Amino acid sequence: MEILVVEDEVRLAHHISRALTEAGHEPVMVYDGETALGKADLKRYDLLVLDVMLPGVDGFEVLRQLRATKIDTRVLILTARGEVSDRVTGLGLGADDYLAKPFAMQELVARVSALGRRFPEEAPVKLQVGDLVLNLVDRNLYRGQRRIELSAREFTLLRVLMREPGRVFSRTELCERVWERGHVYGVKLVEAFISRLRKKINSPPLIHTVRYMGYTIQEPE
Amino acid sequence: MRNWPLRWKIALYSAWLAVAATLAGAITTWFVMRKAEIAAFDRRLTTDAEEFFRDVEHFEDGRTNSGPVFNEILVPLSLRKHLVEVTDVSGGVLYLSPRLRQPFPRDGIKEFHNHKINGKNVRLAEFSKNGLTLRAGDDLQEINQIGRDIFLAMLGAIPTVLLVTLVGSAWVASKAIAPVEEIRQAANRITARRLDQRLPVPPTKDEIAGLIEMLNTTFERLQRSFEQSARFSADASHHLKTPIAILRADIEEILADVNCSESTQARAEGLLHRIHHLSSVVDNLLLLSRADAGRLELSQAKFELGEVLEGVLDDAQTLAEPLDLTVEADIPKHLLLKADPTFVAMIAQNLVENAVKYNIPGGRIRVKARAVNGEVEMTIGNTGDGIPKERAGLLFERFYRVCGGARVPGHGLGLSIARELARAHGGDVELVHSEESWTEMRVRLPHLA
Repeated sequence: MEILVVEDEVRLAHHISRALTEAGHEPVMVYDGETALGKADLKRYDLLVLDVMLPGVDGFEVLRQLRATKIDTRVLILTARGEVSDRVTGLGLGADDYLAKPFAMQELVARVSALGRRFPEEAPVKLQVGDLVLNLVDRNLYRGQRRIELSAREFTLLRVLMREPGRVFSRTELCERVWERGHVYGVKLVEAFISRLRKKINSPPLIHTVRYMGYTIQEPE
Repeated sequence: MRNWPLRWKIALYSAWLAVAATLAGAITTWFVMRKAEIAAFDRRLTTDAEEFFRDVEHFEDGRTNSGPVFNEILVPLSLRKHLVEVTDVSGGVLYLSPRLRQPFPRDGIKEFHNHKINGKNVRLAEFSKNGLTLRAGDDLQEINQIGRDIFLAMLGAIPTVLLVTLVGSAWVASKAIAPVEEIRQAANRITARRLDQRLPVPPTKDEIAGLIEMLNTTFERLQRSFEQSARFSADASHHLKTPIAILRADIEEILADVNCSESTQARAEGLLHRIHHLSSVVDNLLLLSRADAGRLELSQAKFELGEVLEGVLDDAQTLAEPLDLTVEADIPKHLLLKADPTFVAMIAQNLVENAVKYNIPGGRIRVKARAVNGEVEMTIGNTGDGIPKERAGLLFERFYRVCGGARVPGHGLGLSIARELARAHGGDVELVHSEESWTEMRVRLPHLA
């Protein structure tokens, strides 16, 4: 995908573009809103990664002008604020997704590829890894024929892992995804819930520890 | 009376004033009338006395050499109804009017004056001519009848005056206060969300117009400072979060680098988590700054408290296991709240975190919720050292930690955030109980019956 990355902080822009290049995309970096509008006007990009707070013309204004000139390129906005109003403003202006800083680079790449699909995927009702099936509607978990009871947090944690099988989640990222705000005992809790999930899922093991990286869920080879 | 509406205060004051005025009027009338009536009485008495002496002089049949002779029929009829005494030169009583049972006292009687006889105030006068002395007078109460009647009539009117002024001035006061009430309602509409609105200034140049102009200037200043604080929190957010995002990306790169040694990666993982903590401290500070500016945005929803607490209690149970704590939860089903569910979860999370943090091995945590007087009351209690009384007041201060040190993690923002979030909903968080072995916090939130 050809992606226009609009981020005024050069180092962050480089990180983003490197991660996107590694994932097989072709990112183009710009550092302010006016240049971004000029570029978007000249060429049709597949996706815009847009920081909200930019010098001069800010991200919301870029989005507004893009939509006003009928450019319907998909837009992922990056904001520093986790505030509801920002998300609402962004999505109201026609952004397709929203990511709050500081984000995990892997998360950005995952969001970008989700937006890159020509047709957005319908939210699945069931997630499956090997013979482990999680029903997102009635919250039932089955390993083969065996039904497994899940607590509230166990369900949320497993859902995060099973949505992207094979992806390695750091403990930090899991903390962010499961708890809305930082929890003092976040790492302890992630470890405790992971070990409880492992016991419940039983063997052969599906949740694997990647040393110093975190956890992933994967079908045994 | 201090808490009465202004209108009723004004009405009451005016009513008192009207009563006092009526009373003063009655007393003045009484005095003036008394003076006039006495003067009239004196004039009548003089005329009657002159008539009497003239009659005595012209009474042909009674004339002797030594002078006129007294006869009872000479006393004018108009005099007889008063107190009258006629004496001769030697002081012998010739006539007493029927109402006068005994002669006047002999001493101290001059021309018109007030005299006290048998405990009664009497207006008296003495006239002498040709050897005859006429003393006449009357009870002051008799003379002063009209004045007294008017006085009593005015006193009798006081209840009516009271009622009429009370109702009338209440009406006048509410008319006069109406612009003030309008200002209040208009000012009420100007909230943090709509600070750009102003009160309409009336074309008049009176006190009310001055007040409105003054209020508008204040609103303008308020708006400017709100906008500044909003911009500050947005700017601070950006300038703190972007460097954190860069740091995080750097560390993630180290973690992903296969050429790095294991010890480097282990350290990097620790750093990554510290970055996460730093980011939550920034989030918390920005949340507090927004709360201070009154700009906390609530996305309210109707939800069951139990659903939101499910995760928080799950955390508590999980953390309790290695510490050998018992977690008791008593949350009734269908306890509905109208609040921001994320914020309610944060309140509960912060308090439960503390209940774990400050507990003792083998201790207890109890989370209870009830609907009380239109509010949902949630109490979170835990065993532990308790909070010394002298420090209880500092508990909700920012960055305050009861017992610092490495043993207890955290930043000391949890309680102040919980309190601000609860207050933004019109509720509160309070310490209700803390003694040596048991500490209990209470959260109040609006109940949706």
